[in-house]
Amino acid sequence: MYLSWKEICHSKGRFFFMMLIIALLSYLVFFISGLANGLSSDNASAIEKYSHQTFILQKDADQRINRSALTSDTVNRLRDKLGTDRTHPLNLLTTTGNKVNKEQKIDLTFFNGQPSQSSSVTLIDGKQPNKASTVDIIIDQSIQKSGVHLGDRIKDQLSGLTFRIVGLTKHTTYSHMPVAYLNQAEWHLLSKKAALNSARPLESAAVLTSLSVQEAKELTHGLPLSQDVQVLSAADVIKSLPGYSAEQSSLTMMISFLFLISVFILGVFFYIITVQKRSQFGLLKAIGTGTAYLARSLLFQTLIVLVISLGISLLLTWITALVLPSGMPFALSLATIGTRLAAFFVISMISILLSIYQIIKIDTLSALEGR
Amino acid sequence: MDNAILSFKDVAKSYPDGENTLDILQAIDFQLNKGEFIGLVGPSGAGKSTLLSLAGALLNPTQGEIYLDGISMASLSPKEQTALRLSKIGFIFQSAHLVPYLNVKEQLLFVAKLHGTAKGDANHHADELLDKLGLTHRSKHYPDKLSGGEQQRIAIARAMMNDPSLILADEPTASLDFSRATSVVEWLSHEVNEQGKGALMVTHDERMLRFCDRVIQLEDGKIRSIS
Repeated sequence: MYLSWKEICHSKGRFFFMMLIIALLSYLVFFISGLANGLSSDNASAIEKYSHQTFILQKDADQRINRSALTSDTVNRLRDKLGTDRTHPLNLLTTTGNKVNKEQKIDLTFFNGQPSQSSSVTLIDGKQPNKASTVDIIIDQSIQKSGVHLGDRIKDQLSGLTFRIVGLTKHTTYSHMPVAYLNQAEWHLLSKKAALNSARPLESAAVLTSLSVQEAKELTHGLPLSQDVQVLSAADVIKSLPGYSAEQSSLTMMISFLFLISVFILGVFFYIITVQKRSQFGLLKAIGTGTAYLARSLLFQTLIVLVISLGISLLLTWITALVLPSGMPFALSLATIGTRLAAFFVISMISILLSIYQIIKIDTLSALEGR
Repeated sequence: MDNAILSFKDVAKSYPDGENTLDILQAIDFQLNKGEFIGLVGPSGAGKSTLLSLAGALLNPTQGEIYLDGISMASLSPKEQTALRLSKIGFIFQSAHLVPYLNVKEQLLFVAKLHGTAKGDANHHADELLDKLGLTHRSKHYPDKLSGGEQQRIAIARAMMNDPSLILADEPTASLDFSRATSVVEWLSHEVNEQGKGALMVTHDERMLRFCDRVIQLEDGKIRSIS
């Protein structure tokens, strides 16, 4: 530890640049991870609320919940078969609205699930609507970016109905739109009005069940239905949301490439530094420094470099998150930070093992004679 | 025999060279006693450095036995050999080979630290050595700020730091001018004689031999004469 610390203090410049490069690389990894998480949540957080449930969609919808339309006959038969207490329909309607007395249009999606579902959503402001109310709704707080606030009224253009916002929720967005939760009475009213305007009755997008995918598949197999249905996990439904896979896969690719680059840079860094110091290690061995001491010393040095540079990058990430405009989807969970940090540690440890192997096989004599 | 620090018993060292073997050293047999300073001379390629490496357990002999303080060195594991070098052998190389990021005093304290010497003792001993070698005013400098002669004297001080019984020097005066070289070798010989250590010094400089108690002449891997 003594040697490695002395060396860092003596070669401040070299170690500074090394730490800077590692810090910038990991900062980029954190930043893009935050962006990927943010986009994912912006796209799918309302569906993620049902992540422990199994979805039954119309087969022709091609796994896309926005295309799925189950008739009330299909819904009733499915619920009879799977048990009404274990299932509930999920209705959603993507529409355009505007704040009453304002022209600016806002995209939003109405969700209507089981009667108790809106209470599973966390309110950050306001209150839960009255169950019998036909005007009160809660909506995702992202609607505030469009200038709509608690207590404002918004008019749905499809049905012509007007709703009043009594509560704001968090992490409830669907396809980058705020989700408004309607109760049964409101949905009933909406579907009647909307159906008048669009000539076809509003249908349920999905039936959700607490059964596993396997169980639901077995139970629905051979069930006489007028429509073909498909049983999917919540994860599959999320992957098939419009744009979700495209966004995530490109960002995931960037992150993987960054890790790959880090592997090479860290590996080459530590390797070259070790090779450069061959004669020095040879000398230290000759005057009686054990290989274990040198290996420990190298390991300690790497850890110091890593801890400092990852610390800097976390600080940069934190500052970035503060500075980013609120419209930018950016979300980093502790779990994500943890796994990324662990990945960096693993990568460095692997590259340091290569260097330690170098030290072990250094032949004291030839290293001293510069051969 | 009790007096011996280092003894070579019919030692040979050879390397495979294609289908043949290359004999570097053959039938080396001598003994280094306490307080004795032996000079090792011979043309280049005679095997002087190999002999020194064998004496320092950096190499193992192909044949024969080498005893340091009565211990057969070839029978030790590499780890034990490293520990032996740390505590019993002081190395002085042709070039100083100092650790670039330790200052003069830290170079000395580091080997004491490896050896497990108490900090106060090590500090005291280091100051003493630096004083003897006239380097006290340089104790906070880093190697890149020192002249070649100063670096070499630090290397010598480092070799003496753990109070080894055997000092092995490979052309220690090659980078020093004559008067510096003389004073360093004189000091070394004085230390060896006074403290009952043993020293083996390879040198090309005949003028240094007058400080040696005996001189071994090596030629073609064999001892030609011991005088």
